[in-house]
Amino acid sequence: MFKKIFTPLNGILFIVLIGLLLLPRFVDPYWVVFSLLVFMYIGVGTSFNITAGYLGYVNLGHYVFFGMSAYGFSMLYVKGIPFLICMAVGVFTSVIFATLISYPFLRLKGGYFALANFGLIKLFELVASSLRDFTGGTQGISLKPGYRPFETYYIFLGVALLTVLVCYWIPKSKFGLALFSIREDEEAAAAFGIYVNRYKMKAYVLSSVFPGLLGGVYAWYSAYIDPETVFGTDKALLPVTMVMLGGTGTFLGPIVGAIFMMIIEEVLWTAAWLPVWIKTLHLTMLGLILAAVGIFSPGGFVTLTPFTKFFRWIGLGRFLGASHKSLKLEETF
Amino acid sequence: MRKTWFVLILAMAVFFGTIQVSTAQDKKEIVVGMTLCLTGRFAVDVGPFDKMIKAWENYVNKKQGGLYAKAYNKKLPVRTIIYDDKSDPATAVKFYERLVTVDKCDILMGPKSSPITFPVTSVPEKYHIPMVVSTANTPQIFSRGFKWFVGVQQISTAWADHYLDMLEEEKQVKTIGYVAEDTPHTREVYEGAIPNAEKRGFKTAFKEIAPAGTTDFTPILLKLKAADPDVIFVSSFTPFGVTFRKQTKEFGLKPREWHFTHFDISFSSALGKDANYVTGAHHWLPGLPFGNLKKFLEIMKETNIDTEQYLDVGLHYIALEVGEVAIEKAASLKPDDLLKSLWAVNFESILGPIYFNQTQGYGSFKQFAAQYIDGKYYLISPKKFATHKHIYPNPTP
Amino acid sequence: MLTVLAQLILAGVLQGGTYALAAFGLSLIFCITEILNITHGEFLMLGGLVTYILFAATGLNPFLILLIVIPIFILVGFGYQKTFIKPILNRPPRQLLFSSIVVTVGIATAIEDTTSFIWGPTVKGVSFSMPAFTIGGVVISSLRFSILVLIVGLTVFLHFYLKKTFVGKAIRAILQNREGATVIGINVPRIVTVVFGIAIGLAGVAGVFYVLLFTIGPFIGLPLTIRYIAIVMLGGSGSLLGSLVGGLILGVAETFAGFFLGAHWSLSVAFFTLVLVLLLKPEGLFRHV
Repeated sequence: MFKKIFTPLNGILFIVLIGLLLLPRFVDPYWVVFSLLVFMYIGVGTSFNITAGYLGYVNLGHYVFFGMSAYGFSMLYVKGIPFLICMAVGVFTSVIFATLISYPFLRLKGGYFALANFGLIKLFELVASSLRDFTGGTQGISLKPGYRPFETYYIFLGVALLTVLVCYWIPKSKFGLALFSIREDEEAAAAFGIYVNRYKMKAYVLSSVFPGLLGGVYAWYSAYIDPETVFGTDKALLPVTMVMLGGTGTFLGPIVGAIFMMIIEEVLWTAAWLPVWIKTLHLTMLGLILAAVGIFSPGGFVTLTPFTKFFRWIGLGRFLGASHKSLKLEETF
Repeated sequence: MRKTWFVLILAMAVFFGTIQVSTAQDKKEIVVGMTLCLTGRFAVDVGPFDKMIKAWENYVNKKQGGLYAKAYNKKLPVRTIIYDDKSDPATAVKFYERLVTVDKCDILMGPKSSPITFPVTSVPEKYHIPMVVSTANTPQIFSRGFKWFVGVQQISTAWADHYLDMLEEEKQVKTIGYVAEDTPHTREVYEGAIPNAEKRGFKTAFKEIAPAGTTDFTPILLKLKAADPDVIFVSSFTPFGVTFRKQTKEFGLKPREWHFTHFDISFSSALGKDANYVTGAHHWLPGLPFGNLKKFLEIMKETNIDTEQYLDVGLHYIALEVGEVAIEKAASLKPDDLLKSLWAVNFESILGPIYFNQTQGYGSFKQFAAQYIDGKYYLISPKKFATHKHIYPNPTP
Repeated sequence: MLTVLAQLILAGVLQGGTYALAAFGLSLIFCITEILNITHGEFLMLGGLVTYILFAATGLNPFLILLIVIPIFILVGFGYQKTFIKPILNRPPRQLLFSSIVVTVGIATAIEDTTSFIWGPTVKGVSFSMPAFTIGGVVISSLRFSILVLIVGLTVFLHFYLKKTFVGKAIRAILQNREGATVIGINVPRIVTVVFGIAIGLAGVAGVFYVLLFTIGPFIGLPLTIRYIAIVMLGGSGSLLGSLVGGLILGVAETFAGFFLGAHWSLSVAFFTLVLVLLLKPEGLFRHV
């Protein structure tokens, strides 16, 4: 049994983990802030992938869980309620909301499901703006100001790790198998006796847990939220784009996507050797990259041959397959 | 497995190699850092300000030989660093962190808008690097007791002061109807203006707040038409203001005066004739006699920025001027000395005398009232610097 | 009170009509190809931009500019489809959904950013106005009314186009059964190109109207697309009548909510209505044409 735990692979992972834990000690706080944002996007993106990649239901409104948690947390925090309770409430808000809307929304299929959820975000943005006495309206909620990147870094790191672990475990479990079968052919799955509705709901609710953990802490870190910041539609598309860019078939995709996009933004803006017009047009570049990926490599970066070859070469090939070894990656996507 | 180790070590080497280790150096230049909303929802009001800031940098370095640093007894060149915060608070905070820790700025300029400035201000507060807030004037920013930044404007509730002063003096207006766009800034202006006006004796005939994306104002217009105030005071940004005015024309609303708190060339070109005689607030307009005009005008000419279009130009510019004064009068470039000098700043900028409230840190600049007459913007209040008489009532309602 | 109600209904109808136009194009694309064209709002913005540029340069009556805009945008639609959509058209449904989102979001971002770069981020408007007229105490904006008339005209035209011409019938055939249409010899890819031409053309036209009534800026595209998507889902994709009705419902809900509940509720109610309808009738109000 020991042999199973102390494999070389796990050793490497352990070292990486220690590295991440010690990072804040050794680098400028700027990189701490940068990394915490990366972890946040990894958390949101990977949990989005539970419904989008594993279950096959693209929930464009995934970000609404984040926003609800942020608001739930903030409204209580300003009343002086302790941090942990607020965080718990944040998660509960998100999860309960997901449970409530899961039944009606999961009846919709494909594009309709995606769009209806997307509409939810806009709806919440509007409602948060309108319920002025409750949510502070467009003025938003200001929380106790403070400088908290280090704590937030560790919390986000923890949540990101948790999310990745869960999403690593899902494809290997019976739960994951059920999700995949629903994804491939819902009617056939039902005919085989899988309680489709139950699994759909479980996946949906599960995916809401992680943004729920992140939203509240984000509000605490930012010390200020308003409807546009947490329910903004362009914000909401960001994790979706990251995941699609990276690849939806495996848990690696969202990670790759998040890191890629954050780095691109960093490089495009701060590299001194790039001409000015590239910096001003960095969004255009990003947009074109997205379009190119969509057209030429719909499985995301993770399905690109150079990428898969590289991963297999360094010996981490086992992380690529989403469900069964004999299925090609494209098929699991 | 060996391969994996190899790759891992390679990755770590690259990672640690790219992290710059800062070495203590002799101070060679003064670094000024900031973010601007070059993309995103606030980009509308941010014009080619990055060009202006670079032009300022050029002017200071070439024509002034840099800024005088007392501690070194000579002039040091200035270098500006600008990042695009995409109108997103989290991105802005990230970049301000970078400006302080990686780029080692001596002084920071604030970002655009209150929602972004709000979280950003905890960065100077934590790192003890002074910041000059240029375009944010929400009262909440200043009432938290932070010490490491000052703002050049008066708080937003005073936005309409000069305009109301003028109305009070002229004694022609009796009733005012208010409409506000539901964004933090425009609401504060609205919420500040109403009690201010009522104190001076102007009756509030109507007041309502509408969401920022409103495309149909029928409900409001119906009620406004019934109330028929002398002045219709609209606290809004340009898109809202234009849409609103177009619809008021269709409804045949004819108040004696229109007042739009933010207006610029987009506004007047989109409305054409209907923008004539509209009043509003403005910052720098030709005719103001303050400060180092020669330098300002040269920079404007070089960058081709139209001050009638970009209201905020004046604010960003005086923030830079404040920075200059603070740096040159500071005992040294060490943060504590620089901060002390910043709070003590008291000089004449191109927008008039600038000094800071010593408890909260907001500045002394209050928006001037302007009127758009036959194709140009003129200052109408304070009367001392007015470039045109206030035309009331509106001859072509 | 009656005049007030009449005014509100009228305003809602006029408002909704402008929504319906762009929505129909989106709806058609979604139903024929199952692609979520998130770039749609950008074409509207570009339509408005072209109008603004032409108006500023020549001062032509915007309704005449409309005649120039239509063919331009139909061609743009062809080009857009051939370059970006064709490669992803024949993918299995889930891949298609992903790809379409990624591609269209990418193009939308690129368009927004480039537009902002070239023409600046400031808003632009067109100062063209027409006098309003009053009937029985109800104010009617002739500008909006003319636009509504044009929209109705276009809708009628489209209706007959779909019913009587070969291309129109081919479109309806594909809507009903894609494989069946191929079997009976319809050149589906060619028809898809035509559909995109029509849809983007409509978006461009909607853009002309939009810049006449409001202001445009490089970043208005995305929020607008969301609103149109809402209408498409409300009315049922692929249905001309559905988009019209969906738009009208949204428009009237907005004005009424604005009046009775306060302006800040108008948009919320609109979206709430959408979510409600979707939950009760997931495919929308009307089936396709």
